[in-house]
Amino acid sequence: MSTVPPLRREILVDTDPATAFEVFTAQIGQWWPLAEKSVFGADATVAFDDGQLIERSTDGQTDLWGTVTRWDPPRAVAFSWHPGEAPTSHVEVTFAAAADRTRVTVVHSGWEAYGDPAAARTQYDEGWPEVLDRLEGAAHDTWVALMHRRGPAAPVTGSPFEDPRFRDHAAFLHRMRQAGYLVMAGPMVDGAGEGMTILRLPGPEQLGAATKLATEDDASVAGGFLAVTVRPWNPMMRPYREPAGPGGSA
Amino acid sequence: MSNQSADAVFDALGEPVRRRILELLHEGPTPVGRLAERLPVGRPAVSKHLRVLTNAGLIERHPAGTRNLYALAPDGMTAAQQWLLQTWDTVLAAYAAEISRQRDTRSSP
Repeated sequence: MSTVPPLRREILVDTDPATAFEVFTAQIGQWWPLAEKSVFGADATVAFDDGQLIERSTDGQTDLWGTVTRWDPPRAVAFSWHPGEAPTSHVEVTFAAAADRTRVTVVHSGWEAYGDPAAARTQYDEGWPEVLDRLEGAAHDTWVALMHRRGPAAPVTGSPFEDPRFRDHAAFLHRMRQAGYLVMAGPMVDGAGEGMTILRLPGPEQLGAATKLATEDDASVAGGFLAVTVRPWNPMMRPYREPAGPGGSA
Repeated sequence: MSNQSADAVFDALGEPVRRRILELLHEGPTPVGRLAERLPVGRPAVSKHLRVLTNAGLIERHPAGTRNLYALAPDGMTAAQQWLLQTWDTVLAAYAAEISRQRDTRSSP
């Protein structure tokens, strides 16, 4: 049966799976954003209690958010999900060691019956699951923005792009492209001699390596023709569909 | 997509007859009379539910000759999905912040 695809979200947290599981379950009342996401509001409490996830208001009302269907510490917890008047859906949270951190993945399913199957297929192919796949990869890589401007050795007048030393910068960008690091690069139209380059280096915590590339491998920077600021970047969102480039083929 | 339209979607889904209508429409565009035959409520109630589902953007009305066909809207669940996505981002951000807080408390007594 065609389905509305499950919603999938993941996050890396800086702890071990056992602690991640403990905080998510036993300590859920300490961090769940009740002010924004609850039936009774900020003063309520929420807890996993005897196989149920229950919200309690200060005046003693309760709302059963769901019932635990899988309890597998420290690997997974799953529960039905029907806070307030919501129709019943299903949430599974898994905890997996990732180097010295833990990847926490939420899969929220159960919308199959309500959406147009044909549209669901389209969304599955082109829509938000792709966003998440992309972000999953993104979370494990190091992204930097290199902000370039005139360096101390640059001529005060004239276009830097016509200076022979600019070729060193172009050569650096070609090397980054060949290495597969280059995401995009180009000059700022409103700032003479300024430009921005986005690099994506595989693996986490590669900021040092990126800085070294930007300041040493780029001879135009090493020689003072350009100056660069290396800024670590955390890409969180992208369009649901790639924007069609002007004149690009569909 | 505004939260309000997501609210409308969840409100619409919060009623069993309306959920049943959506399930029936999975089989394809259906005239209101055919829906009413298969539901445990009268035709006026079915019309009312169809109005709520239409206003929530979950279904569409297609005139077909002298009668109206109802069909699932292609983007019907988009608002709800967007809202859920935002909900889990808020929740997971709070969760990650709590883990960071605990780690910082441990490392700087």
